[in-house]
Amino acid sequence: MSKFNSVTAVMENKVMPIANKFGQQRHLAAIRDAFISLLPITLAGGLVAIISSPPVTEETTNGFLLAWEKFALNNAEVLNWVFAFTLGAMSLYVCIGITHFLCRFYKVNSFIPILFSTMGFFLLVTQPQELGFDAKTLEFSFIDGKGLLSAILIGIGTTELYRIMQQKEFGKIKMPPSVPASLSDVFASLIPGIVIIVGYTIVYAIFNSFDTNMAQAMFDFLSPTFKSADSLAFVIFITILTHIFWFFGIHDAALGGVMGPIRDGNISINAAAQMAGEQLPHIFTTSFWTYFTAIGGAGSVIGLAFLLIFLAKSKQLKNVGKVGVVPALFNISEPLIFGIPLMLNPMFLIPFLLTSTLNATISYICMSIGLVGKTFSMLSWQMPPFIGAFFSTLDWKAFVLVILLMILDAILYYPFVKAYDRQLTKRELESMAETDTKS
Amino acid sequence: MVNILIVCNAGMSSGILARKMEDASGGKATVRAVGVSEYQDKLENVDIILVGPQIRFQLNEIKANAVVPVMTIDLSKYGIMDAEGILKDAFEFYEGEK
Repeated sequence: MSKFNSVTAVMENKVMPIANKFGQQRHLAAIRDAFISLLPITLAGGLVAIISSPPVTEETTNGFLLAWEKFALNNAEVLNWVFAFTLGAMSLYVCIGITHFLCRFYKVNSFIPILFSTMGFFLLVTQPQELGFDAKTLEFSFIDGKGLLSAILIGIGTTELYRIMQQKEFGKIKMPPSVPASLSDVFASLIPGIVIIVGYTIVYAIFNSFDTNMAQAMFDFLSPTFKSADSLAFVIFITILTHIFWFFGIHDAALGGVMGPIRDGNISINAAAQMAGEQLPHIFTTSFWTYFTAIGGAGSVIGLAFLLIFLAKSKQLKNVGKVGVVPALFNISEPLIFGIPLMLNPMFLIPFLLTSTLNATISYICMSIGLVGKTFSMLSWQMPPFIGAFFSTLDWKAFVLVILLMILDAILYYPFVKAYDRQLTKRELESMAETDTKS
Repeated sequence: MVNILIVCNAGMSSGILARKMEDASGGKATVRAVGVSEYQDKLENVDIILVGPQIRFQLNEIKANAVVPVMTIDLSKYGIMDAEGILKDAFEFYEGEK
């Protein structure tokens, strides 16, 4: 036990600085915050994707489902249009969000930088088809998850350029003191603005001379990387890594700046494919993580909470189970992780790492062989996982799969709960005996 | 009256705690919970900030952005949602910093 404690102390000293670095690195933090702020937009987009996908086949006779199908067909244009500017325009909002949050870090007013990065975004991520006087047509299929990397680069690039020029007072035009402050702000951003606009124009011209644009080039360049991020090996790796963080009681938001673009980008691309009636390309999405991997929050604790309530003899464990079961049903596992505790508890290290890893592996295989549908919407991470699993796939088999995984998780935790409960009960009896002899 | 702001990852798990703490304080404190991405906009009229243990790696960043005392919530008290215990810690810390 003491050996384990010294090992964990050493480990914690190693893990904490990593979490610190990831969590506080200003660009990663801005990316993470931008993705968190997308919530209402991904929710709305997910709803539209669900409404557009009635689960009907040729043999369907259910009146409700048929009426749903009719509604979806009659309103397809409206639904597609709304989708195109919710989940289907994720990159645009991420670009704006990163600019805003990075400006906040630098304590720079974000309004003017947002104007510049939005402009840069449209210049480099969309592509004009026709720019006549009467009609302007734009190709903007990259403003969904496919343009995320460009959006991130534009957001960070604009903000960094702008604040460096401002700090160095580059091109600052001295105004007489009688000019109102707001006006002199605008003049102060005049030269930096021109520099940024010229910069983006040059970037556009370079890509254009190669008959492509930045978003397309970035996507082609990086798609092998994103493909390898959607593999079983990577999913297992990231699941274990996340749970090692949590074993030290550190929220995996520390990794959010890296994982957000991959998971949310994939859900946006899958949703777009679903809207277009095509095969869903990705398995590893935000919904895959929330509903199929960390079932009940990190540590996949729903089954564990029920074990504690119904089987634990120790007062402490029973109590923690009662406090933790409802949050766990909504994917919040902190009460159990800190209350049992699961963190830094050698007794639970094995099931804590194993449960979510098995969930991810089994779900991944089920989806890749087509047994269970892939995810295309993300409504809310605080939705009970078995319900979320159904709505994110519209496949009843996903619901069954998650219920089975919850039972599997409970079985995996069972022997460890038994052993730990025995330990605690003994300790509780001893301390009761002690107080008895004292009094 | 002490105004307490709890910062956790998304303001969810601490949201449960915030309500419990406000009830337990018997009107001596207001408690709000927010996510780490938005706390900087909610600092007005806040007397003390409590940081959820799962994001304690951001303690220094939050300290740098706040003018009021900042402390991490005790892990095991957070786990069993011990509102009274956390409230007591917070009051003691607040008095000590004043």
